[in-house]
Amino acid sequence: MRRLLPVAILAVICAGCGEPTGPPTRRAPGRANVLRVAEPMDPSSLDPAIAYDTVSWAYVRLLYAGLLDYDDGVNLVPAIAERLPDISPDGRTYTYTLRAGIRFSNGREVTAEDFVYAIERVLDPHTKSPGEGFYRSIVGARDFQAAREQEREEAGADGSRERRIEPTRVRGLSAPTSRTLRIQLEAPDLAFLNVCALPFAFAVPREAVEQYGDDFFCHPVGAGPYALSAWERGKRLRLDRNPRYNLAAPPPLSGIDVMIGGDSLVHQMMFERGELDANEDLPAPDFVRITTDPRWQPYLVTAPLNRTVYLPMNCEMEPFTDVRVRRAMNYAVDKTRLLRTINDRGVPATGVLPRQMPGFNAQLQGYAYDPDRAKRMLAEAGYPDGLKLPFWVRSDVGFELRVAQALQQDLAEVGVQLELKPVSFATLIEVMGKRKAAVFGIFGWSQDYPDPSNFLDVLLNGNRITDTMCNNAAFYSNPEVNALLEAANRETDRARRLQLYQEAEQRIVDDAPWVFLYHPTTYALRQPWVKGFALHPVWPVRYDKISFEGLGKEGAR
Amino acid sequence: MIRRLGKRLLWAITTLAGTSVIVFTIVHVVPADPVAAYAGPQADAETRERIRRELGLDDPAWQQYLRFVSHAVRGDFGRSYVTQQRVVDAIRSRFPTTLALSLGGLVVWLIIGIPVGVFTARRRDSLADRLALVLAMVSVSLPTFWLGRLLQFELAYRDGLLPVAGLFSWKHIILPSITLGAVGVGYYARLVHSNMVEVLNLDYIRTARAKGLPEHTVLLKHGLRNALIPVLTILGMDIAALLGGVVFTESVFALPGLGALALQAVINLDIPMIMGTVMFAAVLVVGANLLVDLLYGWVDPRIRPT
Repeated sequence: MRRLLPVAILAVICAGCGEPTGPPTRRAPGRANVLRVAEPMDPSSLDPAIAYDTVSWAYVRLLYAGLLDYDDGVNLVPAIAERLPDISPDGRTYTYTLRAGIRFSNGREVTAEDFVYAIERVLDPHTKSPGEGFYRSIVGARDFQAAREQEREEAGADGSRERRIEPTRVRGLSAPTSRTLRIQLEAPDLAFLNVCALPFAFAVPREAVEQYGDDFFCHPVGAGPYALSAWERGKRLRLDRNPRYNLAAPPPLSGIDVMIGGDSLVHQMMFERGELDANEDLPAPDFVRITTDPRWQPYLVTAPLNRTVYLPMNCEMEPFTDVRVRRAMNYAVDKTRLLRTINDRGVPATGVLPRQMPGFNAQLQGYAYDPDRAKRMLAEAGYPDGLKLPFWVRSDVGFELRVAQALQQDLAEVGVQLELKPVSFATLIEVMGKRKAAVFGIFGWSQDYPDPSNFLDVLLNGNRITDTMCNNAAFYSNPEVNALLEAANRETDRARRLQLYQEAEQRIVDDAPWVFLYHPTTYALRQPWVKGFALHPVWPVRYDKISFEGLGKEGAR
Repeated sequence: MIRRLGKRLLWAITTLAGTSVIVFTIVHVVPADPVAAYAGPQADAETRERIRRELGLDDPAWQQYLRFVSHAVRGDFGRSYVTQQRVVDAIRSRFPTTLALSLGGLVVWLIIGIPVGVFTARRRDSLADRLALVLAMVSVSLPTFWLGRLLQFELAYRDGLLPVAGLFSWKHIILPSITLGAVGVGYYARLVHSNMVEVLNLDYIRTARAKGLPEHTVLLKHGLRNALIPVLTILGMDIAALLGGVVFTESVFALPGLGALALQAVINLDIPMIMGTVMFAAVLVVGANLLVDLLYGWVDPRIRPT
């Protein structure tokens, strides 16, 4: 009897008879000419003032349009703006001329006042926009915010939101004509061009926001190529072509069906059964099988991410107050071996900036793997017998734990014992951003926009250090670097500006406030009938350029 | 009867109030910033402070708790920090999925568990009884997420017999129901088995047989009905276990249910959603126990309140 049981279980397990082999030859039934993709979770919001994650941005940019957009790379191109803005000689005033006749999905023409409204809405504390910081450099923005906060204090949290206290508008934002938008900045900042292309500044129609109130996030009305047809939370999101879209040629596909839920393993199974047209996150267990199978090669899409994974070393805490210890850590890590633990899905970092970022310095040497040198430097710094350090790591991302374990081995070889502290992401952010709380850990930063200031100034300018919620997790401050970064931020000559950032980056690498680890690479799969699928360095993926080919009658199902 | 019911209701309200205090305390002592859930990891400190003020998270904890209670008693749990959705709307839209899945699991438990229990009790120590015992042990030991993945891989991915994941037709609920039900089947089969064995040895069963009643009447009317009394009690308590199992099953099969909602809320430290889903689950469990209490009296007239 007992012998029968394993046999029975084995029989069930081996019962598979229709296992997919290679790319599907037919598309599983679905809406005709509609792209089917999957996301692990819902977009957080479809309100451009609120959305601040890659999943949401992928859809927000299909529903809305802004002044500027990106070409297939990281270069800005006009969208609703007729051309790139005229910038005044002092670099503080941006004047945009809007294209005539561009319409929202509700049929109304987009005017300059819609952009003024959108940015004021982002700045209004009541909106609770996580992107308001990008627009605080506009003249009068802080006064506007202070007035709104005073109103809140007087009226209470549930009180009226009518703007009574002056200034009720942001002084540096104006629409002299329906097609002219003028933005004045407190100080020159070339990165503001990128800020104008962020979804936070996409045009929104005031009447729709007022109609839907707090539910505007799920009733989007924009000037993008698609409009929302249905959103069943946790289940599916359905977009259909916006019939009023006239910013460019209509997108080839009539719609996009997004299945919500499931992890990358589930999505890969569905993809291989022809139930999805693309899978944007190749799961680790299938990675080797797929990437080494020649049948899948033509359909594999890969792109480097503008993201840096790094180990901030708290420069205000022992033993990292000593630059020799920080450099020793950099020499002790074998990045090539470490990347093998995550299927080589990344390239070793030599500095702060990812390779596609303007200002990336290919000459930067970084730190080569040299454990003997690391040991010597630790001994010189007074740690001949090594040391023991707590190491904070995110527990819910498997590959980060694998990386942490690989680091543990590397550092153990030079006498540094890492005591792993796996925590949730929310805890990691809290601990790493608090002064003198965490000495060492693993973090990553993805660009908000492709400009070196978004890494160097945000993460390593000592003038930006705060006691809590600090993005400078190494609490690194070098007055010379700070001055270089401030000068670069204000520089209006593009070439000179990038040069200043490169100088700052070189100093930062010399000071080694981080172990500069790697820049991840992303892998996706498309079906044979999907054309025009490409990963984008700013937007994760651009669905509006995708078309179907070679499906014949099957495609019409 | 009314006094007993009143006592029970009072106890239920105390349990719910206690739960709310405990969960509220836990989410507030966790060393993590709930504003990060709202604003994302890249917002600067000034933005996060501004959002904290707008969300009222800078108020003292007791004030936040009172605000929570005053809104909750009116059925308002606020909006999710992550998805902006009203918590009540999220629960309302996802509860049917969880209910369908739980009922599916329950059906698997009872439809298989009770007949197997009765059958093996009737044929004690037979080969079938021993086989059932081994299978019951296997079933109880199966981790839900593992079994779910296995069934998904074999029956959906490799064989294409059923959909891999999602919830777009009735077929999508079959594999998750089997997954959820499989774990409880063995337990209930053994529970019914041992109760039946005990009951079948009692005098009144011998009397029933001596009266010449048909065997199926003896088994089902006299035997099973009495053997089910403890099963009902356990079932009431197991509603909580069922909801717990739902978390993994929903996640594996990408079902838009309460379990997946609660799991995401906990991962993101989405306080309004955590409070809402936990309180809703607490109401369900307390309600189920109350109901079982009443049913118990109906099934066993000896403890029926007078």
